Amino acid sequence: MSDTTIQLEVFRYRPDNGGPTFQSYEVPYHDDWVVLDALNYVKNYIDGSLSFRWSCRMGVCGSCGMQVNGEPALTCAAFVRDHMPGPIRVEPLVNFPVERDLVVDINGFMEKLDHVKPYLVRDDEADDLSAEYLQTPTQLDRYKQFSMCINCMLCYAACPVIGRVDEFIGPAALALAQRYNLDSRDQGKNMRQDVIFQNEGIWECTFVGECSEVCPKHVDPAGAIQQAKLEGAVDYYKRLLTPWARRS
Amino acid sequence: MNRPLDRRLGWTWWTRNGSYFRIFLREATSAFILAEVVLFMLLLHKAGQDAETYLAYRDFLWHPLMVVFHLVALAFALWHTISFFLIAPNALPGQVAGRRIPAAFIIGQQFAGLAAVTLLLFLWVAWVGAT
Repeated sequence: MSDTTIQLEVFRYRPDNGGPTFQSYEVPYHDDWVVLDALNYVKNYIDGSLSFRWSCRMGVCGSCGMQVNGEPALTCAAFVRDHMPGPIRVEPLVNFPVERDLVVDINGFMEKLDHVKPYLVRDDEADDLSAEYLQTPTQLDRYKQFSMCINCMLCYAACPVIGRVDEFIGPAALALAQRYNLDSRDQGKNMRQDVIFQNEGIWECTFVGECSEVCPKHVDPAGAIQQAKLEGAVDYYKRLLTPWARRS
Repeated sequence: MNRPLDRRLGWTWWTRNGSYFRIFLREATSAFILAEVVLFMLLLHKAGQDAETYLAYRDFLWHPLMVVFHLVALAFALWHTISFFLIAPNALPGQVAGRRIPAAFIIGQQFAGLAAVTLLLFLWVAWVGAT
């Protein structure tokens, strides 16, 4: 057992028990511990009433996103040693309604995600379910970066526009829309346009860029949104200047 | 009863950290550029009036406080320009004709373009002044 300890200041909110508070816990310090390990120590040995989400513990599932000392981070990838000597303040992701302690309500995000149809859409899907759609490495390279999203929602916590405009579709969903629009196997671009190009779609983004800064998978959602803006503008002028041209 | 707690950033978001504050200032540069455009439009308007009105306005623009304002506006304009150039590669498609364009190339092209246009403007002004 380590002799050194570190203090965690954990956001507590129980909807039936008054307003939010911070509760301090003294946990052992281990060089290889991440903040999630410290939270699990609290849960297992100090205070079993603490609620938080986690699953894979290896930066894949995107469940354990929280504010660590004010910055959105995956707690399974945020090393305690990087915050020594502490204290470490752990809060739920901002811009989301808090259900309890560190657990946020992600229903709004899931609905937005659903709106952009983040899956391959095929016109001929019903014809042959076993069909293969081959892709060259160059075609894969067009969207691969945007396909690395794990839906951890850190970008939503970092985005000040989300904090001001509830209806904004947001970085991850728009990046995923762009990811599928760039996929040579997809035929659903027209079905996503209404959502992407509405006022609350890409045009609401002011390119603050913090979404890309906090993304643990380097997806660069800000870049994806700006690229969609550029494509949208070029497409608009093409339609304006060549109204007779047929487009898919 | 289930009462989710609202923890949105709100309108003071730009005070939350240094990064947000820099973004806020970057957007605020547009106010200085707008002010300089208005001053320039007024200059054109005064130029169409009598010489006394024009010279009085020109003296106003050369007032030490206005010179400080022009320098601050120039600094903000340069900052906005440079920050825009640096983030431009993120806003452009990753591939052109199947090939990735290096970010340094995109950034370099913009600075080269700015330098070329600036040089042409200086040469034009020098040429007009000489004739």
